[in-house]
Amino acid sequence: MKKQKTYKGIVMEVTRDSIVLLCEEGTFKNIPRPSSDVPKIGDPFTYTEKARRRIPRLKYVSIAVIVLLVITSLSVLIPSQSKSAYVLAVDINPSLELYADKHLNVTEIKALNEDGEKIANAIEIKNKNLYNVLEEVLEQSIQQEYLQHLEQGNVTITVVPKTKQKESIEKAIEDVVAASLESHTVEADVSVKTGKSSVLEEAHKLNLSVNKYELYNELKEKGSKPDVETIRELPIGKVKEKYEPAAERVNSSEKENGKKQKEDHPEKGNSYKRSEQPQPQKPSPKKEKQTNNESEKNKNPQANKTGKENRPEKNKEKRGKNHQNNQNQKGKQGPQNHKNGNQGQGNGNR
Amino acid sequence: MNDVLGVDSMNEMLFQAINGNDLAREKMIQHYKPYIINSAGSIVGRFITWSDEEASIALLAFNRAIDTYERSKGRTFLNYAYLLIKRDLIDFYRKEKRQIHPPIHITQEQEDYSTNQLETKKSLESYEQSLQKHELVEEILELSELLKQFNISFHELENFSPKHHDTRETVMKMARDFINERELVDEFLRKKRLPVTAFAKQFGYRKKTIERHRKYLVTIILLLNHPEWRKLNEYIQKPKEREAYEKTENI
Repeated sequence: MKKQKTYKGIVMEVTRDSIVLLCEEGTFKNIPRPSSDVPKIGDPFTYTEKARRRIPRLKYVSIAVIVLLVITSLSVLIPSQSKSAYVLAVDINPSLELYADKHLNVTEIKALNEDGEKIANAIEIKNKNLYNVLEEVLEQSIQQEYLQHLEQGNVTITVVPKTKQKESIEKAIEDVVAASLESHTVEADVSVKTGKSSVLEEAHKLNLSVNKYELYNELKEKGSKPDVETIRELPIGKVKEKYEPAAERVNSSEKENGKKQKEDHPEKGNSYKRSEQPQPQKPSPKKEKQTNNESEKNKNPQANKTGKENRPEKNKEKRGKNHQNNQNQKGKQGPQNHKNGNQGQGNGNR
Repeated sequence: MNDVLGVDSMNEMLFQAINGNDLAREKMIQHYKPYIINSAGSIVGRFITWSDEEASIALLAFNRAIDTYERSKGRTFLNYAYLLIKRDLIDFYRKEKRQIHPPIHITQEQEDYSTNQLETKKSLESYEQSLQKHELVEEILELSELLKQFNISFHELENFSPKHHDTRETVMKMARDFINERELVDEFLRKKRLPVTAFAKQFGYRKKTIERHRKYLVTIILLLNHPEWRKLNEYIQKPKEREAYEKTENI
């Protein structure tokens, strides 16, 4: 950058646009003539080159340009990381991840298994709201018969907020899913949880969805040796069937029973969905226990599970399958889940 | 072509012009033209060209100054001429009832005040100051006229001025070398051209350097060739001395 320069000299000639100075060093310098002043020949004249104004102006312009460049390049480069404010991991059987920005516009849809690819290919995400895309995912799943009328399906969704969000969108998502299923008269166990982005990263390492990753961990802890490939391609329900200890398999075999019963009472399914929504007005001691357990979370999920798992076995209640789901999830999720679990148990007991 | 006009010869010229020598008067006016137009411009506060009415008023005032100048009044001619130009221009503006440029108001009062001061107190100091200043103006005008013969005008000189201290030193040294060679100087003044080749050969300077700074070099040589232009010569040598002084200090 140029320094500000002062020219001291005597006026040799004045023309329309400039003044010719003979500077003190004996050099000549043409300087712009101030519009309101005609200095006399021979007058001493000092001229401060408007370096201060001119060059800085250039400087500011260049700084502004650089800032613009940086911003634009940031908005081009970084968005792949930070653009998505939410990651929504959806597992029906198709495992999908929906990336949405903070305005809930879907920016990316990522299939995590073959079934997921089929769904993802069928969906156009451009300029669509997260909820709309989610509805479409469900619709496609139903069309492609991953969710069927006669079968108790399984919709597991984990919301991973990438940035700190003021409002949680879990409830809204739950509503959307519930409404969408209802409109297609499809029965499914719905669970919506909140996950951590660290878990998401871990899951990505195994190329699993968050939901399945958690299931995978759970199964591992239980002592069975799950195969990542199998988990990736099978629906959560099937995975469970495959790997759950024998005792529970009995349960799951009874699942069909449960299904039949459900067909008899479709309202129950509905009521179940509704009950999934948080019901803080009904605090039960059990819940508190669970929350305590929750706080310990992964530390001791086994204890948690075993305690609860026993019950459905004993009760042989209709929705054993349901239960398992809920229990499996329990290890890792937020309070909403508890309510689910709770509720499920309540149902069972009934 | 007239010989180089020194201050003395200008006084001589003025004397002749006053006594009715029209050629001398014409030459005087030609010589002072830049001063007239510049004075008019600075009085009016905007740039005046020869096609402006103010220019002819200033010219007429200057002509009248030649007629009415009395050396015995203790004023320099330029000072006197300037005063007449100023009065006429102010009168002109009053008559025209034009919108008077603000600078005139101010300068008018200032001038009245300062002329009163000059006239009443006849302060020796201010007289010397104005004398000195007019010496400088005369020198500039003469240099300007001389440069014209070499096809040089002041505003070109920036491009030929050395930008660097070292280069300036070199050019100054060139000029001093040149001025010491009487033959070269004579040829230079006669042909109005710098004998670049001969000069370069003789002193081993690079032609390119000379060409690069030719017009500036010419100007410096002319200045050095006219030691009677004390002010200007003082001016171009000042930094040299200062530098030398700084150097000795550093050592």
